[in-house]
Amino acid sequence: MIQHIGKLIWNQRKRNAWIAAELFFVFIILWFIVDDLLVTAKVFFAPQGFDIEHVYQVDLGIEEDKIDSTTTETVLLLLERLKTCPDVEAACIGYAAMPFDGQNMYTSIYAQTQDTTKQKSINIKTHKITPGYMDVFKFQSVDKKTNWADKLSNRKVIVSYDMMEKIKEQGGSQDLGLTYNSQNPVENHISIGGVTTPFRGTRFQKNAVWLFEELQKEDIHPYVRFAIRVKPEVDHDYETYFIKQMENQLSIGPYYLMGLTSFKDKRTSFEFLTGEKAEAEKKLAISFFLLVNIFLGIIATFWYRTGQRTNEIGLRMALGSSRHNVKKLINTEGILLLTFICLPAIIICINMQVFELNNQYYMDYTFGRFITSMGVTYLLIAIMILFGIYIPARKASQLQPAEALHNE
Amino acid sequence: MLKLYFKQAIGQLKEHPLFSLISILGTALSITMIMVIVSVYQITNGDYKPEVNRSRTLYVKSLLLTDGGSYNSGYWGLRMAKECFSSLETPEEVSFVSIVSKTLLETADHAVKEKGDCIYTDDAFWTIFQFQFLAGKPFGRDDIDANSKRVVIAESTAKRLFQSAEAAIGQSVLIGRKLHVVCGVVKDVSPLAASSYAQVWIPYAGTELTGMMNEDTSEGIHGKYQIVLLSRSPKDFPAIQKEIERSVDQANKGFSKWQIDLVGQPDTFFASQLRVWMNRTPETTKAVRNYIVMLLIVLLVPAMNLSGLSATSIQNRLSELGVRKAFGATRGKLYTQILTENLIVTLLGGMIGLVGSYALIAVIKDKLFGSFQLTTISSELTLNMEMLFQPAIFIYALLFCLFLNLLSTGIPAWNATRKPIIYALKQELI
Repeated sequence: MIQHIGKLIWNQRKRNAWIAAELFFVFIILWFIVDDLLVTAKVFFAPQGFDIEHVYQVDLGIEEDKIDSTTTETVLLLLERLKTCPDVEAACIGYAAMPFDGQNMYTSIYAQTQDTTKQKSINIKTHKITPGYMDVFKFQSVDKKTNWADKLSNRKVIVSYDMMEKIKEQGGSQDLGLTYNSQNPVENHISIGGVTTPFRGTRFQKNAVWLFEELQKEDIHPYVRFAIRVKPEVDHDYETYFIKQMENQLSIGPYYLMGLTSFKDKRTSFEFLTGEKAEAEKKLAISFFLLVNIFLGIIATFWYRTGQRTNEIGLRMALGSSRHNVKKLINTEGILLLTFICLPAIIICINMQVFELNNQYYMDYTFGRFITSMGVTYLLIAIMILFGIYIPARKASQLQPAEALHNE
Repeated sequence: MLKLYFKQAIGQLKEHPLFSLISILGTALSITMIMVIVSVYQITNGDYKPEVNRSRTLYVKSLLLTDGGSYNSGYWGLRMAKECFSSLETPEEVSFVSIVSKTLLETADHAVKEKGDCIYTDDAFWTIFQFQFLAGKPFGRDDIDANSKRVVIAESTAKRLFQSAEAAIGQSVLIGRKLHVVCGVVKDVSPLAASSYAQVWIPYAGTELTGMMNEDTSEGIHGKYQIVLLSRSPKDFPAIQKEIERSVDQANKGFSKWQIDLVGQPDTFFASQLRVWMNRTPETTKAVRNYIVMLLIVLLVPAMNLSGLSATSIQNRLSELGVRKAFGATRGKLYTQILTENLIVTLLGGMIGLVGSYALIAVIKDKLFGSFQLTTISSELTLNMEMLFQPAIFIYALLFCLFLNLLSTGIPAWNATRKPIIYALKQELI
């Protein structure tokens, strides 16, 4: 049967040329997009590792001319007042530390190792925080203990799981610790107080090489950021309530309370800044557009063809083909057309992968990845083809053999 | 003649309703996608009030300091900006504009209190950007020198605080708990006009221009300002760039530790839109390439689709073409006829597509124009008529229709008109 249909398609090649060219073109583009979306989705839907539900940034305005030497004390007083607010579970201050914020601080650091020849600098994102930060964002520790203040005390640092992996790669360990300077490792020694469980910096990152250190009093800058985690049961239209409750308490020194920004909103802003989400949405839109075009093209081609082949179909039915058989014949024809087209298309796709044209940041090239994205692409187009064929196939199978045969 | 073509085209449409529907839908879909892409580009890059001079404006957003090893990037401090940009001669106007910041706005009696977006700037700002003043007038140079705290506010803010634009003039307003006086009210600005958008425009203090510069604390060097330069014509861009480089070199000589790296600035408007990170040169070529690839995809795929359709419908009319040929119609004439007839279908689809694109833009505008800045300000995203109905958009729509028509009908029509009369009469394509 397949051979027979193959012959049919070949005999109709002139008429199939346009739809075949379209399928070929679309297959390649769609494969490229599907592959990209699949690997992006795999990362996007993986667990974040920390929690921003019910977490707010406290927006404070500053009168610059009132900043003076007592401002540090004011900042600490503000933190105390936030902590004692009855709805607040945890509060913290951070400098260049808040997630989904454009403000970042990067630095290079070395792992202490027995064999110093292996020492290579690790580029890390560093965060100056008060211990409450870890509770506000619900970070987890690999040793399951949440005594963050101890883990940060005496200038110890907490490192992320992925950073610990990097340290281990170089032959270091939690006990050996880190150093800021490979020339004077002893004087610049830093102890590692704790390791978090794996988390990812943003929804579009695979991992996070982060380091947390305690914000020292002398480092407190007037422009530090405040964050709070509120109790889930009070978190309904919380901003208005918070302003009413806390406005007087939080308007001290150069500071005045403006409101709250939820970290979910901050995440939305941040994702606009990096553009990764918009990029994925753009690709989804193009995929949809391509599939609709396939649908329109297939419907037109097969509709026309059924009209042309009324005689042939009549003859088939007269010779004993059931209506079901006729439908099946037309459906198989569509799928077979796609299968023929996808063979040369796959060759091009393999080449694109070999030349590393597609996304390699989220996932390495593997055979499994190739097969999956090929399979999904094929399936998507096949579904569109079957949709498109449905009406023409029904029309064909409802023909009366006698009428079809004397069709002139 | 055209009337005849028109009649024929309508006849064709009626004869094969499903085919006609599919080709009109296919065209409409393609034009919708194309026009969404083009309109978004046009709205983000075209000139409209108050940013009427985008094509001849240059932008310097960030200031990257380097000492060879480490980097320190941020916006410009006023003192440093003055050092590098005040003495430029080629540009027509130079303005220092702060980034938008959130502040608390209150009436003097604290009765009305709301969050608002403000920028600090100078008198040149009102020349580079053309605002529509509803009452009062902008602040001037002397307001900056005298630190007079006179501000311009947006119409909606004026209405919420003082009931009307006229009533606001001369009123006191507390901005971040500091007393200011309203001197002008302008029509609201869409947040898409990213360089000029605010709800309150405040003159910066002239004393900041002459303040201290401290390399260790970045005082006077880093701040919150960007530089906007209006040139007399885009032809002056290279000259302005040279002048800025000379001036920055001069400033660098005064430093002991840091050196200024302009990271490819000044930017044209298009490039400035792409500059996301302060320390990275925007990838303009890549952005242009992405635009072109996307346009090609949404043009070519439907074109192939429509080609298949028109090949079929032309084939059905092969005998008609044969007869016309037999009676002396030239190939060129027949070719033009097929193209013109098909153009009517394309234009019909194009019109539906254009309407569709406006509908789509209205529905998903937050996704299309969403930006970091938009999510951090107090105003809703608004699109006005002037942005949406730019003449350029209609011209592009028409051009893309013509192009799509040529792509989809060109080859089948050429194939058909090339057929010898005999074959054409016998209706055989092979």
